[in-house]
Amino acid sequence: MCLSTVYQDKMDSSSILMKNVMRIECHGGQVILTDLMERKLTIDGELEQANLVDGFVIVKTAVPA
Amino acid sequence: MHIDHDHLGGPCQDNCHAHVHTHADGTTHTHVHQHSDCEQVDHNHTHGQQDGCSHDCANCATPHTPMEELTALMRYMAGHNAAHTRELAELAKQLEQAGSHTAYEQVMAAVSDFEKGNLRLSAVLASLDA
Repeated sequence: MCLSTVYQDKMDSSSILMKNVMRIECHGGQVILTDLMERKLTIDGELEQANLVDGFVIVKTAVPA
Repeated sequence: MHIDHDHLGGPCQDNCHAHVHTHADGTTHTHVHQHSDCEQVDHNHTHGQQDGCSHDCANCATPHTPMEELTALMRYMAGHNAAHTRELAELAKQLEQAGSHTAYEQVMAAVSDFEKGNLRLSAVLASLDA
């Protein structure tokens, strides 16, 4: 529906991973973000929260072993 | 694979920080990153997918200009508004079927206002495309 801003771990301006995100895919411990310009960003982690009314998503990043 | 990056700010809670980094293909991105051993601002390191993030630059071969991005966003917004306008019109119909004719008229008046705004956006888009 609406484009979202995706944050890493917490919702503050310094934690923005990607703006204008139109697609989110989750595969095998990775979250793949695609923005309006079809740019992709892959993060090792999991979807923590998606607020579809306010247009924000928080991705919990995996801690490197 | 990230080959280099510069920090934009100091260390913060949870050892995360924002930085700019450049990929092997020359593409530069800015984003927040996390390191378990990051305690100071001035340090150099390379990192890859094991650090918790990676960029797929397969689609970055042709960089977009700021105007192209703005136009794409405007086009999306215009289409998105049109979709919301249709949803509002459907909502109005349901209000009338539920017996609230006054509410139906008010919502349809709002639909008309939305359509005017969408027409204005379409005109702006047409001028940008010209």
